[in-house]
Amino acid sequence: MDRRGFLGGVSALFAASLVPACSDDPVVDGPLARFLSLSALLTGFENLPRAHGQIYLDALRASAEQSLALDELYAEAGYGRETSPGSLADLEAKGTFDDARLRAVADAIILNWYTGVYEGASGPEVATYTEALTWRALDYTNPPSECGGLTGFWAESPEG
Amino acid sequence: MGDQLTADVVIVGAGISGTIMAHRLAKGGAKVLILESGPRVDRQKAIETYRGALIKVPESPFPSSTAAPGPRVIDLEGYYVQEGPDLFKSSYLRLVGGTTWHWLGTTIRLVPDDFKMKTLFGVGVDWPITYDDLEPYYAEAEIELGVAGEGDLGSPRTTPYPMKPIPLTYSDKRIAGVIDGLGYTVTTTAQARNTDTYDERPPCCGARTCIPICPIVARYDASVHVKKAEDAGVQIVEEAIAHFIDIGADGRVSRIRFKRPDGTEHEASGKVYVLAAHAMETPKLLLMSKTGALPNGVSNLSDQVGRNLMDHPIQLSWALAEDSLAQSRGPLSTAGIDGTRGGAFRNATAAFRVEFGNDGWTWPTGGPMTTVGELVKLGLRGQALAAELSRQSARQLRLSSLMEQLPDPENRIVPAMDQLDALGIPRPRISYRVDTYTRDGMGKAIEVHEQIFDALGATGRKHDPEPQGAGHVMGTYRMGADPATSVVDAQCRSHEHDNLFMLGSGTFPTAGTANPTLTIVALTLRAVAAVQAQL
Repeated sequence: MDRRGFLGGVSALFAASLVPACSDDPVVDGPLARFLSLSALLTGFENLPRAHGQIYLDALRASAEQSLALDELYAEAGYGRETSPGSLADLEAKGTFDDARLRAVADAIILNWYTGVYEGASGPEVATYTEALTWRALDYTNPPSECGGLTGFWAESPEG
Repeated sequence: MGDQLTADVVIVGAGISGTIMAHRLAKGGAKVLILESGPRVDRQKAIETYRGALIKVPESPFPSSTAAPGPRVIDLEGYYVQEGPDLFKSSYLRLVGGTTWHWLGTTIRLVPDDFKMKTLFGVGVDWPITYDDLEPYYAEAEIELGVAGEGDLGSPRTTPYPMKPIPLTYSDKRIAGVIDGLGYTVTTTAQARNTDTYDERPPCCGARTCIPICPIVARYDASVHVKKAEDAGVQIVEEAIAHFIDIGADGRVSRIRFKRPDGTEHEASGKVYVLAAHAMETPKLLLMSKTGALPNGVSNLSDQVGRNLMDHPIQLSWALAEDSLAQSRGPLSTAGIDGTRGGAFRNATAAFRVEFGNDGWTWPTGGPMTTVGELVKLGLRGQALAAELSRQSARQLRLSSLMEQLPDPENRIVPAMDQLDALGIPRPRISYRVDTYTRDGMGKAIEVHEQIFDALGATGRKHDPEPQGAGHVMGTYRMGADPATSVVDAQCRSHEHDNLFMLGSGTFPTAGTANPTLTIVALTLRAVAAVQAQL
C-alpha cells in the first residue's frame, strides 16, 4: 500500500468519527439555541455540536439548583430581551461571576464542553472525547486516537 | 466429559511469544493448539470503548472477563492480593493478542553487560547466555515485529534496522538542543512502529494512543501474529482457562486441564507443551499444579517458580518548560537518554534509561483535561481559556526513568488459595519491595531530570516520591545453567520436564533496562529449534 492508499484507508476508517456532530442548519430559536449561544460566549468557540449541547443542557436542567442558576445566567447575559446577548467581557465587567451560583453553573458549562464529560443521573458520563473543546483549543495537534497526518508531521514546529 | 483436544504442541497463552512460537511451528508442519484464557478483541469497538471511557487507563478499551480477570492500574488490589511492603503497580491483559495490545512499542535490546551482572558487578545473577548468543535472534525479532531505529544504543549490531528511524518530535529536538553540553546524548528510540508500510501495515499517523491501542496497527501488536498463526493452521481456543498441568509417571507433561467460563472442565494434550501466559499467570499455573509427587508444583524443585519478581520501577517527573515544546503531539515517546544504562556504578545503584514523553502530563496529572479544571478555577473563560490551555499544554513535559531492579527471591507471586476468582482459580498473591539499589538509582535519575528541567527553564517541578509500574513483569521462572537455582535452561526448557517450555519475560534472570518485549521475542525465536527437536 502506498502512502496515498494508506491515507485513503485511514480516511475511511475514521470517516464516522470525523463527521462533526454539529449541523450547518441555521441556529433555531429555542432552549437549545439559547444554550448553544451562551456556551459559545463562555467557551470562546462557535459551531458547537448540537447533540452534545442537548446532553449538557438536559443534565443541567435535571438539577433544580443548576437549572435556576442557568435561568439567572441567561437573564444576566441579556437573553430574552430586545437587545442582543452581551459579551463575555460585559458579564465579567459587571461582576456576574462574583455570584457563586452563577459562576458554578458557568464553570460547569465550560467544563462540559472542554472535557466532553457531564454529570449524569448516577455520576459523570462521557458525551464525547475527540470533540471535546480541549482538542480545538490545542489547535497545533490532533485529538488522541485520530490520525494527525503523515509520519513525522510532529517533527516540525507547529508554527511552521 | 468435556472436550479432549489434541495437537502436536499445546501452547498456553495467545500473546506475543505464544503466537510467534505457534506461527513458526505451524509453518514447520506441526499441529498447534493455543489455549487463551481471555476473549478476542475487536479493534474498532475497543477504540470506541476507549473514547467513551470516563477514566482512560491502559485497560480501558478492552473487554473484561469474569472468567479470566486481570489486574487494572486503577484498582491494584482488585485482582492482585498485595502483601506489600510496596504496591506492585504493573498490569497485563488476558486477551487473544495479550499485553501487546497496550504496549508502547519500544524495542531496545539489552546491553551486553546486562547478561553478566554477577560477574561484572557482583549483584544479581548471570544469564546462561551472552549478548552474542542472542544477537542473531534480536535481528530476527526486529524483522518479525518491524522495528524502526538508528544507532546501536549500546548493543552492538550485525544487521541494519528493518526501517528508518522514527522522526524525533519537536519536543525531543528542543530538549536535545538545550541539554547539549550536559554530557548526555539524546537517542532515537528503537520501536516497533512503522515509518513506512511494513508487513502490509501502514506507517504511523501520530494518533498518540500507542498506549492503549493503535488505531491502524502502525505500532505492532500481537494481533499480527494471531492472524499469521491462524492462517498457518494454528487453532486458537479463546476463553479456555488453563488451571492444572498433569505430569505423567515418566516426568513429562501429559495434559493441561482447562475450564470454560461456564465452569466446565476440558483438557488438551500433545507431545510438547509451551507456557506463554505472562510472567504472572505462568508461575501461578505451575504452582497451582501441586500433587503428592510434586508438592512444590510443576518444575519447581528449585523453589524459584514465582520468585525474583521484577519490574522496571519508574521515576516519574514532570514540569512546565519555559517555552513551547509542542507537547501532546506525535507518538507517546520517540527519544530518550541511553547513556545511563551502563557503567561501573551498577555495583551499587541501578542503571536506568530516561524516556522523554510526548504526551504532556497525561500520565502524571491527567492533563490537558485536568488543566482545564485548574484554569477555570482561576477564572479563565472564553478565548482566554483556550489560549492559556494551549500555551500550558504545549509546555507540559514528562520524563520517566525506567530503573533496573535486582532479582530478590522474596519478591514473589504465589497463588492465593484463599482468594479465588469466579471460576474458583486463585488470584495472584504478591510480595514486593523496591530495594535501596533501585531507590538510590531513582535519586540519580532525579538528578538527571533536574538537569534537563534546568536547561529548559522549567518550573513547577514534581518528582513522584514512589516508583510507578512499567508493565514489565519479569523473572518469575528464570533461566539458568544450574537446575538448583533456576527453572528453565537457556532454550527456555524446564530443567525437570523434557517436553515443557516456558516463554516470556518470566525467563529473564535479571531485568537490565531494556523494555522486555524484543528480548521476549528473541528468546522465543531461539527456542523454536529446541521445541521442534522434541516433536
